[in-house]
Amino acid sequence: MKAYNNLRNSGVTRRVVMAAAIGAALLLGAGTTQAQDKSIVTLVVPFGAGGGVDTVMRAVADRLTPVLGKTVLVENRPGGSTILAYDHVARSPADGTVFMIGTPSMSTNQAFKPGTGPGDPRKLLAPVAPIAEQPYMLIAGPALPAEVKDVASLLKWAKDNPDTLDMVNSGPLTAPRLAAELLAFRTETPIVTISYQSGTAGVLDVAGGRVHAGFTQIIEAMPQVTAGNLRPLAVSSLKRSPVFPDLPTVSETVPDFDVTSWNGMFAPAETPKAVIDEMNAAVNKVLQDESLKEMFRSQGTVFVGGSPEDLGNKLDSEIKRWEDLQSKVKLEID
Amino acid sequence: MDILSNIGLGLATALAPVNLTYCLLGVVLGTVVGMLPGLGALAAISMLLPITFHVEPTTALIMLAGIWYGTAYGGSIASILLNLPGSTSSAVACLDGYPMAQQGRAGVALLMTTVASFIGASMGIVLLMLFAPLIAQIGLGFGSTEYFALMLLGLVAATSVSDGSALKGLAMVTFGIAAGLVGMDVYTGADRYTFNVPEMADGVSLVGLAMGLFGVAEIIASVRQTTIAEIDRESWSLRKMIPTRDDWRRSWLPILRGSSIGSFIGTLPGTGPAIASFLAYAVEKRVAKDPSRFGKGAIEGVVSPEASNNAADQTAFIPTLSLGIPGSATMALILAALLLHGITPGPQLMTQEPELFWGLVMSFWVGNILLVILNAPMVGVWIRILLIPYRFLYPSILVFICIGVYTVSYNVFEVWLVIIFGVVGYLLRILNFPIAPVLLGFVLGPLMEEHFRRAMLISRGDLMTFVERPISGTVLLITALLLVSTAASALLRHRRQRLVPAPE
Repeated sequence: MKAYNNLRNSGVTRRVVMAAAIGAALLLGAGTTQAQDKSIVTLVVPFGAGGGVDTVMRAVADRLTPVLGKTVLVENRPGGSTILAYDHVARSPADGTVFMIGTPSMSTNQAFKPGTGPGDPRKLLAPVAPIAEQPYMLIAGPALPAEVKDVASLLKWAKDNPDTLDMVNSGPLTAPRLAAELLAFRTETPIVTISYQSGTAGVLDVAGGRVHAGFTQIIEAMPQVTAGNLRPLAVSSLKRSPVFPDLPTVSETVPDFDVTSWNGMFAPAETPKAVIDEMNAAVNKVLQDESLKEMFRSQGTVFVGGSPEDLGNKLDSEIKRWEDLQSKVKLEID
Repeated sequence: MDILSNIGLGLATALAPVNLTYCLLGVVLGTVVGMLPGLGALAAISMLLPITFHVEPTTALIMLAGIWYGTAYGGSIASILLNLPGSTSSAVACLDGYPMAQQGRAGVALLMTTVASFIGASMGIVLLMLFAPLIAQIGLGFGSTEYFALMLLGLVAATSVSDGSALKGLAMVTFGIAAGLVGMDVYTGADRYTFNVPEMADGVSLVGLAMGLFGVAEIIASVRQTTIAEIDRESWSLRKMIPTRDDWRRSWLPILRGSSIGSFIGTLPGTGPAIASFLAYAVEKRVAKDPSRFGKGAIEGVVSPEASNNAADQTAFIPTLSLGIPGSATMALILAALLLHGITPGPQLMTQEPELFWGLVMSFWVGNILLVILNAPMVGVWIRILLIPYRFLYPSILVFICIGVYTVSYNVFEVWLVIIFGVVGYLLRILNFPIAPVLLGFVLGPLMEEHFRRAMLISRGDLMTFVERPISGTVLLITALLLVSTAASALLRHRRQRLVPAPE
């Protein structure tokens, strides 16, 4: 809350100016004219304004501006499971004026729907820096008996009651769906995945006892976890979450299981190495900011940072993992 | 009593100068945003979200909420005057509101809408105050099976929405469903009707569809008229603006029915104000003595849906605040605002943050009263919009439409969609196809599919799930009774007509 108090003292006029500026930028869609101006960097976010990723990236962009000495503007290009933003950035000038935030959709789109969008992101984009990671929370609801309290007991229950376990997710080609499919494949457990238009709709069905479990965003599950309607079984990241140190990981039962909601910065493929290195250094500096960490702590967001290669490897290994899964389980996509 | 002290606490919070100011700011912004075609609460709230980081969470929420319910007031203004749905939930107000305006009764329609909106909102707020935790539990009990049953009841109840040729009505429902199915399949991720256009993967927006079929089609149609009828100055006298005793008599029951339907629908996280207003319209038409008046300026068809969507706007806060489960994208943003301030919504919110909860609820009263004060005297100003010559008015409307739909996803593609739907709407109009069933199919069709398939997935293909679950079983029974009674009354009428020889 301290951050807000400091900001609150900054005066009404600044607030209004800021709002007007943000509003104007949104309305006009920023874009074309700004790409010419080298003192402005556009950071394309593949979701609408006000969402989870957008809020994090606006906070990052605010802090990048003084470090880079250039104005970093967030531009929202939602739609098409992030493909619209990707398509736009892939065709933008590779001169260090346009960057984008990549998400797990980048790997799932490529692995499951290689035909849509401009093509392989490993060829059309250059990785700049990993930014944030959020584990998904594996939640269980009242449809499961009380003895299911961790991953092992969930899998045992599913084997004792074959073809019963249902798991919610936030969409057919989202990481939460694929996390459940991966869990089913790796542990040879029959799981029926049930997709929703949004994560919270799925949480409601688990809390209401209609679906047994599911991988969800921490922020979506927390209200019902606090209320006692849901119990968290595990987090989906390789390491435990610093926010929930007592909550085990799925990988403690299923070795190397690691599916997270990650965000990394990418640039058009031909962007010069010097530009990428400069941005990478700035991002890594910004991610040390304690106020940033504090602001998103309750959502389970961990600011990771790292080299361009770290992000490139992450994307590559994810695409390969999902391609491998698809070649073995053959999810029905059309 | 406990509730009295809570109300006191809430009023003290809501009437604090800073909160009152933000509340006023919110409702004024809401009205304006609602009135501008296409620009809805979602765009406005997402733009203003960053400012709210710098004020107290209660104040922030009061303003964002003001925008949310303020749009419902503003949205009906554009629908009634210009046949342009200012916001999604106001699309229904076009059906009878615009014909009323064409008959010179725009003032009556606007004034009655304001009254209906206030009554609807009030009922929603009372429910929110008295039963929020209880209602939230009911919402938790609604799954896909129940939603499917409810939608089916809605569809059956709404079969009367179109009149004239049943075949044309059916064709239009199908067209609406087809338009609604555009986009990624919820279960497999397969693209449907997208023609490999990535923009289509997210489907067609209701705002774009409704604005094209109603507003743009209207503008195209006006171009063809070589002489535009001179507006009769006589018909703009103040006397014609004031609702007659007959208007009140016709309106009060529909307002109450609309408020009840809206209050209920709003509490279900899987629905929203748009569906609430549709169901209210369908119900009104069904219970009306003379359903043929609908679509031609029946006041019941304006007040009931408007009462309904305002009630739903208020009760939509119940699942958001007390379950932490937002019913719509806009509510999700409001939830995000809370979470960013470190407040976790949920059943414990009312007890842990009484100042926030009650302050917000009481600010709803304040906001709605402000809206009435703002809107009622403005009616005279709004209807003057109609006196602007079409050659100035229509081009400016087109500009607003383009800006409005662009903000839906910041994509020019949306603008093209509106133009296409405008042309389609114009053609349908020439061919005498009814437009209302398109919206019905568009809203209910895809939801029914989604819930039906999900219910089937969960029950492993056992259709009995719909009958076995108590809520859905009951709703389906009501649906069946409704079908039987409709069929029976149709049969009776048919018989009577045969017994009485047709007059020469």
